[in-house]
Amino acid sequence: MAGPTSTQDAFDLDRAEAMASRFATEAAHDLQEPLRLLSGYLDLVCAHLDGKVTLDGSKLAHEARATTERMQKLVGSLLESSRVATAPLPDTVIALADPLDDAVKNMRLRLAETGAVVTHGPLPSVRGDTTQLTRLFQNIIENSLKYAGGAAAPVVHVTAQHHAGAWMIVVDDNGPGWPPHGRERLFRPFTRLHGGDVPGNGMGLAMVRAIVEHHGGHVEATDAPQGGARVQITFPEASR
Amino acid sequence: MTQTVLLVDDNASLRQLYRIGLEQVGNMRVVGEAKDGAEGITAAQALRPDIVLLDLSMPTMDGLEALPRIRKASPASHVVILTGFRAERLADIALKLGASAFIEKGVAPTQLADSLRLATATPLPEFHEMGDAERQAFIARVRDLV
Repeated sequence: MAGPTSTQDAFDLDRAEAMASRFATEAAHDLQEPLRLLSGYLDLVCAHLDGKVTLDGSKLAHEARATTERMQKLVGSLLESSRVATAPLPDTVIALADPLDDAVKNMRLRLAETGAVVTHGPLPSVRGDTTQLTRLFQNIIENSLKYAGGAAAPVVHVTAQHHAGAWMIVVDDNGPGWPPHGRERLFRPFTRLHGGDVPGNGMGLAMVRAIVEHHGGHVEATDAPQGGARVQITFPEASR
Repeated sequence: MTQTVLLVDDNASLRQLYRIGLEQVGNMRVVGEAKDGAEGITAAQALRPDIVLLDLSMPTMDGLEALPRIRKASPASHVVILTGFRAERLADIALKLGASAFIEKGVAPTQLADSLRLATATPLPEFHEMGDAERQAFIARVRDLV
């Protein structure tokens, strides 16, 4: 593999390594939980098989297997995110409306199911990877749909503002908004601020952060003016 | 006498695992479960268990915020904090926070009841209400350690 050929390449490499390192630390921390569960179930299975206590060995073994399957999915998602952080970014300028439209097409059944509507204002172009940017919009929209639940159909609206040489992309929804606690952890892998009450593995927004940072941007969660959740992404301006 | 336990942890699977370990192996009785600190306070007040097994990291209200309120809601309950971090690093400040002990989350379910019996064999730690500043300083110290 060729080494870095410019200051920008070296910078990208450093950034990718820093992201990978942070991701590994967070993942190692959060993977401990299913490992503890697995170890716990096996501890009980052993006690049962050794004749120390009489337990429902079959149920415990099934729980252990289900935990293993969940871990496999988590590790798969983690690997996918880690690939995002290290994949070379194509030198292509993309009109952001295109990956957003692709995301909406990919999610048409889910949107129809929930009666959700996705709208957008004029959007700029950025340098990046269409597939990753499609995934980014999908994950943000999916997050909005997951937490929608009021009487009104979910509405997601995407706008853009130009500020200080960068584009700020704002995604607002009309849902219940972010939980009051733990907002700083939203973009960490495996974060599930609603505990087990809402389905998912806590990787959707982590993937969003990985994609945004891979594009040299920054993402944060704020409040939409009408009370819903806002995801605010800053992308560097496409230089050509 | 069979000791009673309230489980306060946001992870339902872990609560189930602990329940099996405590009831079917450890001869303890789990009288209630709560998924965050706020529910834990209400349940402790209603159930008055011998032991509250309290997770540190939970949504809505975490274990450190809930601990003094649980002690106040059920003064005769021992509170044992479950932590994913090395418990001995936290032991010296456990008493001042009102907890009887810290137990590491990796404890085997077949050993959990024995660990709780050991942790609660000593008299309940003196519970004095801290002022906000003192409490926040302690909480900050624990969070630094974990």
